[in-house]
Amino acid sequence: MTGIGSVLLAVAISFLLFLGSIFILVGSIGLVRFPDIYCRLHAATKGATLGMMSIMIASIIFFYTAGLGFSSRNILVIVFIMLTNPVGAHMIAKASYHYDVELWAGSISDEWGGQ
Amino acid sequence: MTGIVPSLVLDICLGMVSLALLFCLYRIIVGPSAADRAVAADTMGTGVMAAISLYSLKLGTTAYLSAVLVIAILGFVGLVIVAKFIYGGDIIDRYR
Repeated sequence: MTGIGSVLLAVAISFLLFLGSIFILVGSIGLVRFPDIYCRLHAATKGATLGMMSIMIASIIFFYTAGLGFSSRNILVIVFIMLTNPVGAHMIAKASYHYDVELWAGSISDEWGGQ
Repeated sequence: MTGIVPSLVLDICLGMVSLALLFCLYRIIVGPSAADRAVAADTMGTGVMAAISLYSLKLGTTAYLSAVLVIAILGFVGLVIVAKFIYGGDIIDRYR
């Protein structure tokens, strides 16, 4: 593959890599900046999942066009992250609510606590 | 061995992921409750997975992808175990 096709491919892979890294960075900034555990879960889980999926798709395209074959382990990582990350976040949120970790003072709704 | 992606792109992405790992480390150290630390550790595991993927792209080899899969599985199992421990004070619940 030469010429314009190679350049377009490099631009696509670079765009996906930048997108994934920016999502992971923004999720971590949210993990630092948000006021309580539930907001932090909201930022960290979604950012990490989406960023990791973008990087994995870029990795699939890269290894397929580099002649190293179709790497099925990347597909496995995408499916696994998509299944397990929301489940883990849900379990942590439920456990910390059960353990009476306090909500942020500016929270406007607590449906489980009846407000 | 370099692929079609310029090396500068991979370096910038590795820098951003490393900065994200530093933020997660801050939350692990400072975090007020145990659930904060567990979430930060899980996010840190995802960041390490991203860093390993970027590094395998930089080296042009698929040998490190198994490590990514293993870290994903271990991170999920660890998060679930910590969540069950916080919830009941016990990992395997015997009283239902």
